[in-house]
Amino acid sequence: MRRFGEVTALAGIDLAVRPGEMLTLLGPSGSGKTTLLKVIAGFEIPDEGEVYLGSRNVTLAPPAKRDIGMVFQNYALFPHMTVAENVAFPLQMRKVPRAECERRVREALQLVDLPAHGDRLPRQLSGGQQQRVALARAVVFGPSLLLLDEPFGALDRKLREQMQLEVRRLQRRLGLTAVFVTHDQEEALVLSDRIAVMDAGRIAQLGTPQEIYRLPANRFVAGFIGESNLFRAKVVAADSAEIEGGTRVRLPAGAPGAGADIGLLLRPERATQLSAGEVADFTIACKVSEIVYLGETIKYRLQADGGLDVIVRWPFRGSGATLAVGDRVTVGWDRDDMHWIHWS
Amino acid sequence: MTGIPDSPGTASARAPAGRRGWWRRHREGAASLANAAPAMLFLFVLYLLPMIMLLAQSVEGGTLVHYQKALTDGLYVQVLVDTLLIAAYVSLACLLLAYPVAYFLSIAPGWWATVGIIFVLLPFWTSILVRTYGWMVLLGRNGIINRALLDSGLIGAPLPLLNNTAGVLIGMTHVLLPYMIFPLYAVMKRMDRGLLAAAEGMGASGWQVFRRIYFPLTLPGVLAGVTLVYVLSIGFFITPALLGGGKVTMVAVLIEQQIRTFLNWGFAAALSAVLLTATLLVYLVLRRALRSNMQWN
Amino acid sequence: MASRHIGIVLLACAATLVPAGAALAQAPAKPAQIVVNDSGGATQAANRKTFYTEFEKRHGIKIVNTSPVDLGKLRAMVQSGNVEWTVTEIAGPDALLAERSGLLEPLDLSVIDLSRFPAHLQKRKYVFPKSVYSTVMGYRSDIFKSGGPVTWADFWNVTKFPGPRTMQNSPIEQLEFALLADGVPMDKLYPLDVDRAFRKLDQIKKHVAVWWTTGAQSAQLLIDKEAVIGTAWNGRYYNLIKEGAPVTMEWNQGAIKESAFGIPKGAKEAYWGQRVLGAMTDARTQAAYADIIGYPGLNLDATQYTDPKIVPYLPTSPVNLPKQFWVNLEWWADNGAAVHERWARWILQK
Repeated sequence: MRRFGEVTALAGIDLAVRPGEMLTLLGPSGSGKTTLLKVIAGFEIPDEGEVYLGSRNVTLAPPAKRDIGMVFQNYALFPHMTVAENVAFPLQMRKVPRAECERRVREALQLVDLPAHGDRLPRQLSGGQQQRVALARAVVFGPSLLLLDEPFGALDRKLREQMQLEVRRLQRRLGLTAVFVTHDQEEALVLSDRIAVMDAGRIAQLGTPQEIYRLPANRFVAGFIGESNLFRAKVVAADSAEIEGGTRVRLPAGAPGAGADIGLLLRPERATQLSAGEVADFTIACKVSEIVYLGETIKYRLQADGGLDVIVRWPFRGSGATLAVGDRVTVGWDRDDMHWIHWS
Repeated sequence: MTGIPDSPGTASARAPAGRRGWWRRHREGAASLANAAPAMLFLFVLYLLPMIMLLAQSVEGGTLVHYQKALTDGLYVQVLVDTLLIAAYVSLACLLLAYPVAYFLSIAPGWWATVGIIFVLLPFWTSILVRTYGWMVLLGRNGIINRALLDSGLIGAPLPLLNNTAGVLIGMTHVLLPYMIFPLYAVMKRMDRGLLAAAEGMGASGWQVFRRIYFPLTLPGVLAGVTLVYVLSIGFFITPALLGGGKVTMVAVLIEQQIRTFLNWGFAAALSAVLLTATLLVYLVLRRALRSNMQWN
Repeated sequence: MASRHIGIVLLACAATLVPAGAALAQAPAKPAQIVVNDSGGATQAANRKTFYTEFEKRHGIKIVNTSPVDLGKLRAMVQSGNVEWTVTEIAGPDALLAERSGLLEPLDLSVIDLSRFPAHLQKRKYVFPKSVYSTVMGYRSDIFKSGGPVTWADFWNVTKFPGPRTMQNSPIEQLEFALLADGVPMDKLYPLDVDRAFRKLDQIKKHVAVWWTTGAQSAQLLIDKEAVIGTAWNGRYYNLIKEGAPVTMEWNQGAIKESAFGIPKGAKEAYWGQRVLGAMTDARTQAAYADIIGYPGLNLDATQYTDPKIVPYLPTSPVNLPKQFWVNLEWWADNGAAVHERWARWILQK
């Protein structure tokens, strides 16, 4: 637990990173993910609780004694040192003999595909290259844990995607255990073995990207990850519930008993357009209020007759009947595509 | 304008294609040059022109006798060397004292930093002469420091703190300290503290962080401060005269004497030119020595 | 064209400022203020209370003061034609150098009345002899209770009068004092035997704790006991004694010289500059000035207005004057550059 004055930045965190996995701390700013990273790195000492690295209790150990490699938000490359000197720095601090130091720097630069850039200064490199140098510097001494603090924030979209894949490849290849901090859910879904979604200093959910996306554990995660329709509903019978506005829904198996207050999560891309008379487990008649072309898909914002806002998204095929604003449409979801959560 | 074919206004219209290409390539540079023109004119009129006039005076009558005397006469050579040495000692003393002060100012929370900076500035509001007399009261044979040391039995005879080189160094260091503190403070304030944390995270001890990261990153401030203090030291006049007991001669005193007492401006100009050259040389050497560490800047 | 036009306008303005039929019909227009440059400090304060006030009262023109006295600046002003000073003090042999270099306006003796000055001064053409001061020796009376040094030979005698000394950081007068210490009679000093003087100075060098630079310093050194015997201008010692400091001054073998003023060549308000110097010849004002600072003027009538209690502290008193020698500024103007250089060399020798 870490408190800053009145604010409790972290509370009740119980997190075990598995060897060789890439675990992402995902959350909006202020959710405590960076504080947690600092506690792991040793830049912050928790008010309560312990930090273990393997079997070693490092709660009070200074950063220098933790054997952790870190890639910083703005890379934190030393501007006055060449690329090679930057990468050699953690080795020199560990008193690695000169010859070995040079060899490992060479290898690390090879690894990040910058074999010929050793003599350059950081400011002579592009953003992506700087990122790679930071990565080489973080892994060169074979740390037992790699921490990445929003490392792609400064890169443009295309470069970011490329670097994400590179980092992932490198981490897998070296078998590194890594903790990655981001507020970008897409990035988290692409990169992670597991994701810890953080909210107000707590872990809201810990799971694989699929679990997090398909089966969010609570309203916060459901709202934070991906685009979704989340409707509040009351269970009225063993397998059916009533959404605000009176629409009846057939619930998936395992739903709670009658009287429970639940939320139903319906992903826009799982909706189907129903023709007249057709009925799904959840059927709702609407009017198109807004159309957004997204390239591969089209997003429709619909206004249900009961007043609900509904979003659906379908592949865009170029031809075929598309809807226009004001058109009436009936959409539905199968109960296998529904996910329920406790409302509170 | 018509007489100047290369002037910016007419070149694009009349110049052959090759030149036009050149012009396009250099247009940005030329535009910024035009923007800088008033400043350049200002610098030229206020600094360069007097300097040229001074140099002209030193070779008045087409003779180099003044230079010959300045560079071969033992008196002037020795005073010049003494001056440069004292300037070097003062620079070093200022650096050693200013570095920690600037550091604490740079990390102090807002209010304390403001108070600290006011304290650094405070001596600027006092006449240099008054401050010099203040040091005489402190450092003298019967001054406050010697009295305290004698009374406490730490020393048997007064320490020679005044009317010698030690007194000159103390007084000059005091006067020039702010000129070292502020350049250092500026680089320290701008310092990306993330870099220090990063180094620490990579296993560096406090001392290693300082030696490998912090200090090298403050080198531009060090160079600026040392240059400022060194150059100002060389021109010092009243402080050495008063605190040195007349035994420490700085070259400015001799230059002043030539101008004021003997109206020998040619020789004074030559001495000034030699001093200026020596200062520039020292600066270039210093810059070169720090160059490898400052390419990033 | 344009400049002539402006000239006419200015004349017109000036004409409206001068009351018709005023007594000063022939005098140039009165400026709001003129600049008098002097050596500043205690001297300026005394000048302000006496001569400057007298002038302002007489002519209704405000005097603005600048300092310090600077021959180099005077030359630069005169040569550039941009003369900022109406009147300036000129130190020691510089006065002669200034006169020889043509940096001064001739004195208008119809305004500056030298008729009651000593005869040899009445022929002055460029340099106005405003007052007199003397460099004398002084010592801590609490340390030398049974009498201190009286001659320069005593000053040099470190066994009979032990303790650190202070002298001015300048060859002027120090050479004279050395020669006197070595037995040269006061009236046989000039031309100075420079080699002999430096040989004698070698003997005292390591006993001189401080070679002083400013007048304030010379007095403070005795107060702080940095030195127990020293030299200073008589006014400085006069002030210490007035304040009750345990200091005694010795007139014997003192170096007396005049403090000079002049009008820079081309000074815009030279007409009024002559009148500033005119005010400085006034006997009563000279007496008042001496009262404050111990530097008497050269108007022989001034003595009758001087407080008899302070007469013993004036270099021109009938008792003190014969004990001293006049510094030969001409010799210094001729030989100063070379001797100064030798002095600087000598100071640097360890």
